[in-house]
Amino acid sequence: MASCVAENWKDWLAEHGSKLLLFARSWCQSRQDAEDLVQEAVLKMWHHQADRGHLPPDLPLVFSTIRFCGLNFHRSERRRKKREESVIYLNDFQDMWLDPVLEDDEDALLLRERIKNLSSKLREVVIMKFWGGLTFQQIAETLAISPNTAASRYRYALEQLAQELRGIKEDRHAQA
Amino acid sequence: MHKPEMPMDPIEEVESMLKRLAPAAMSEVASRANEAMIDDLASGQIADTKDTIRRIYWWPTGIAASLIAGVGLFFLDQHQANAGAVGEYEFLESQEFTKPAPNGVSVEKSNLYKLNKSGLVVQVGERNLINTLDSQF
Repeated sequence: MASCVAENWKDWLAEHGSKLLLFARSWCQSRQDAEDLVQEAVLKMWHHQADRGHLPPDLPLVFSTIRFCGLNFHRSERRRKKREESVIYLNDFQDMWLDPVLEDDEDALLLRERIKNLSSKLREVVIMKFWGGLTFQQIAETLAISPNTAASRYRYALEQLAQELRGIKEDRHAQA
Repeated sequence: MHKPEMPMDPIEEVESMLKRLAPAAMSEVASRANEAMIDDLASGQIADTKDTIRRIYWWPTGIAASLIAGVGLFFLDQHQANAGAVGEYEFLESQEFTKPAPNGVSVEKSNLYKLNKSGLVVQVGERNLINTLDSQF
């Protein structure tokens, strides 16, 4: 019985882990911190689901939990940095949030960088909608906003990305 | 008469490009740690949510302590590490391994960096201790 439950959770995590990591990544300086956040959220979800037959949780709830853990992480990081001024975060240039499906996809690689530069409010909606597969209603409940606001943020984010892509293409055309 | 192709809506163009990106997978270390945690949770070996998973930042301290033969690693003191890391550096490799600990499992991961200014190699790592508490049942 326990092994069956464990296997269900492992399968669930194998399917959704990368999406959760992507969402957690926007709260953290490093991938390791983001993986810690996901682990913390999984642990919280395990105990939450104890009264629900230990079934794997719904994604909107997990996103919400990661967001909550991320906020707490931010607060504790600010306090810790004040205490430990000698801690240095070394950027790992191989730490990428998103991977191109096709090799040498230059446009996708350019878009990847622009997504990281979106504001957190826009980025989290894009991540939950596009890669998380959530509806605007579910996103609204996760972020405690209206579905219209969620849809507006999504559209605004994509318009911003479209504008940046247009600029890149124009520069490329001018150089050619 | 052949109708010219309508240009793609910019939003649709961005969405079709987003489809060409996939979230990066979790690291092998994190995946193994999560699976171990799930196994322990399912078998009732982890009873408490607090302090179950402790993270330790492993940072070389003290004056250069040892040279590991064949690998060329130096443990730098804090000031040397700070000064070197502010400048440019080159990422060399990642190391990760899991080993038993007195109260559970220790998952270690470290990155090796070469500081371009000094040529010294720095090892920066972290150690996650997953404590498996004694079950009361």
